[in-house]
Amino acid sequence: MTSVSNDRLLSMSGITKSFGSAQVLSEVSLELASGQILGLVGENGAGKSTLIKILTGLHTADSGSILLDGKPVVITCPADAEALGIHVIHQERYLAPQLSVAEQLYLGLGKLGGAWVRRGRLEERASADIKRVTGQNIDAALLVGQLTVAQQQLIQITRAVLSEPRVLILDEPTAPLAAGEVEQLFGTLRRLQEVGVGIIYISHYLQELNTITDRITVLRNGRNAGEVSLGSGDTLDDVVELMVGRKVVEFDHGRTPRSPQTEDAALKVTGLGVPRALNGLDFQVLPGEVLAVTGLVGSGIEILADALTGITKRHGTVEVKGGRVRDVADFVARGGAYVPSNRRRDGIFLRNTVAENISVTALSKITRSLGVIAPALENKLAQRLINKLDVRPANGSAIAGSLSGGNQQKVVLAKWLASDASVLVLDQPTSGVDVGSRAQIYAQINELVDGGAAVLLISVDLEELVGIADRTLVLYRGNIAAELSGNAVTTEKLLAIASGTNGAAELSAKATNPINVRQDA
Amino acid sequence: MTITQQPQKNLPAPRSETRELSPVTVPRRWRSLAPRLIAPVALAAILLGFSLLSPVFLSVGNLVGVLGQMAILALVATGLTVVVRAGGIDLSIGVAVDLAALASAALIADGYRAWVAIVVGLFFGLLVGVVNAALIVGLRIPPFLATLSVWFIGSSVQQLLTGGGAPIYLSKPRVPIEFALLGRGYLLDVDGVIVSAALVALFIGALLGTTRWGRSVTVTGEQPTAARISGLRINRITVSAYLLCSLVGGFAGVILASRTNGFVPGSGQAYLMDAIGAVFIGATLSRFSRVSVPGTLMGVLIFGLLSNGMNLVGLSFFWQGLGRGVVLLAILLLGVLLSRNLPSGTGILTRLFTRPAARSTARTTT
Repeated sequence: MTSVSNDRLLSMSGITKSFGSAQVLSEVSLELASGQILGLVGENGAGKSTLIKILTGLHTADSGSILLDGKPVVITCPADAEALGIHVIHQERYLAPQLSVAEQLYLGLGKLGGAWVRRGRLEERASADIKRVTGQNIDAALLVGQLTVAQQQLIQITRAVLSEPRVLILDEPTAPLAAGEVEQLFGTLRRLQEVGVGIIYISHYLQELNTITDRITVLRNGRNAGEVSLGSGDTLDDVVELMVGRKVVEFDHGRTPRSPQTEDAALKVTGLGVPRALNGLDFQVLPGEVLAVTGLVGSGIEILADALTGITKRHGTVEVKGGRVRDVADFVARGGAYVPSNRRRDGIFLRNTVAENISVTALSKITRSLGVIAPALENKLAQRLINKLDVRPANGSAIAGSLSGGNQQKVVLAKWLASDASVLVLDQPTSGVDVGSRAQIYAQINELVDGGAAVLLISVDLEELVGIADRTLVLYRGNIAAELSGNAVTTEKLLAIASGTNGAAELSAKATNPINVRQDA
Repeated sequence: MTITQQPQKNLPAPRSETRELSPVTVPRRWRSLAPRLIAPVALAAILLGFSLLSPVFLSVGNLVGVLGQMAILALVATGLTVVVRAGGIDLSIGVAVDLAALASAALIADGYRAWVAIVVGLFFGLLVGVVNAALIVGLRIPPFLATLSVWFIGSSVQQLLTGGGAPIYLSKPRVPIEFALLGRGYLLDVDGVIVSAALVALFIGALLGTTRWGRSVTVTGEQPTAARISGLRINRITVSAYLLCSLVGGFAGVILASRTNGFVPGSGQAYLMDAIGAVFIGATLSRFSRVSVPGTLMGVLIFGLLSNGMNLVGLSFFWQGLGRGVVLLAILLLGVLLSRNLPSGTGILTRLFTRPAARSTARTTT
């Protein structure tokens, strides 16, 4: 027993699980040593989530065994898992929006103190804990529902760390986080690693796995597809190949920056301001170009798309194709499209069919006399776009909420193809989307732009920006800190400006070398 | 044995081949069908049970009688279906019924012509909707609380207007024939109110189920912000839903006045609770747990046949509430139990207590 206890913290073997007649996991095994960070990857639907749910007691395996410290354990409910020190940070943030940050943080941890809870002291301690774990300042008196998605994620991470886990599972932890916060998270994970915590890290961002993990387990179609050790000669391309069973090209590199077709802006923003978030931004997007905007949490990028489209109150003017936009209905009527970052709440109608989701922006096109919708027209429209974007299942009457994240996002995009939108505002369009779907979404964006659409891409995925943007604005504390264009964009440079480590002086110094970097204050 | 059921997935196949094997659709289709059968099964059980207990229950005369008694409830519940579909609730629909009945009865009593009484009655019903829409869309008060306030206020208003709740009775000779026909006429030997209720239900059902407006109402009710982002003017849509709801309530009120030949304060409010029950029973029929006019009518039928059956077997009035409550609870509970683990968004009930289209914009320092 002693020989294995330290080496193999957790071992799952022969895990098989089926729902009805559909087998989602067959004979899957996973090994985790203490102090190890294990990557777990696979396309959406490969069985990662089911495997984790079995480990955390949300599902029970049909067969197979789980050993902790070499001893078999039985996990039938989440409380079992927590008692064994297995903690998980889910992709969907299971938080209580009506609790304060401090309450949420210590809920169920038994660390609230005695019978009386001193609110002020609790909040102080919560703020300190959050600062220690994530490096962020978050006011612990706020309600969880008032936080941004990224901040909620940080709360969840803090909470998991405070519970002193033995095995920590992170499911897409960085999807909503900006680069600087990712670094901070990695620092936290490495500290946990040093004290012997075993960490299972699930992510679609393969670059992150490269940075943080020792070993990667790849699942495909509910089976072990293989193991990759990045340290010993394997590359990320090997991971991708194992995941999809073929090679994937995400970005067609080597393309030249597009030359916009006209000088008339498709989207013109003047003095866009939101109190305490954005300080009067000016920019424009020409037809046939992708303007990207990036920045850290707190830089204002979380609110930018909402402000621009008129979902939240704002100052300043927004013009789409020369016409001033007052609210979001105006924006859409003038050919605007908005893919919001919170897909499950604002992007997709979870309880409607895929066809209903797609046709919602094009109701006038499928309506006959007396305002009656023609089902044949609706199905035809939906089917055409489902095929075009390769939505799976390719069935317009499927309930949208039952689709995987990547396919849901394709449906959201399809909705805007249905409306023939030509000015697209995409807020984190590939967050939580698998590699295959991501490539399809990029291909679709490129096709639209080549056809003359203007795209404003708001993203914290720097790889994505470098791969797809013609120009990139970097926000820092509500202002445009820099505008980079074309080949001048590198992830290192974006990160430096966004995190404020690259001061204005240094930036202007650099601007003397490559001609297309300029400062825009 | 299970081997034959397993899809062949061990080949590292190109993705197109795995397309049909999306792992959850097959069992989910069956699992999602079960909760939708609860209400029809309940209805069948009621029909079967009471037909065994009472010989007259299944007679044509009795069943048609039930439909006639249910017509006003059906109208009220149909109106309510519209606002619940739009993600709201209208506790004040009974007030719309009462005010419409009060206005039309009072005008007939004062000797006005039938069409004046009807139009003013409908207008009084609509007025309730205008107030609701102003509170909910204009002032962003959660629909449950806004309409609850209007219910209280409306109850008082009708007491005050009738001088402390004195009923209005119309003497038959003074009632114009057109007005009398509305609630007591017959069309080809069918009780006229059944025809009216059926036509209104058909119209609203078609409106919700097949038109662009209905689709807009539906998606607004599901996820208001997502509907807004899709370019729908959700404020207008919500307003239209509340107006239509109270207009239908007003129509029910006018028919009530004609049928009962007068007005008794508070008589419309009696329909509210049954209507809410019927609407939510109806939601179990849909695979999206969505309320619909056909579902609502099934709920109305369940309540109607249940009370009729309980009357026929001689169950005292005091036991009937218990019977209704148990049936409602059983249907909704089974619905919840059987539809667990199915994909769904926020439940209808939780949304009634939240602000419409609320969206946080809170910011913190970094």
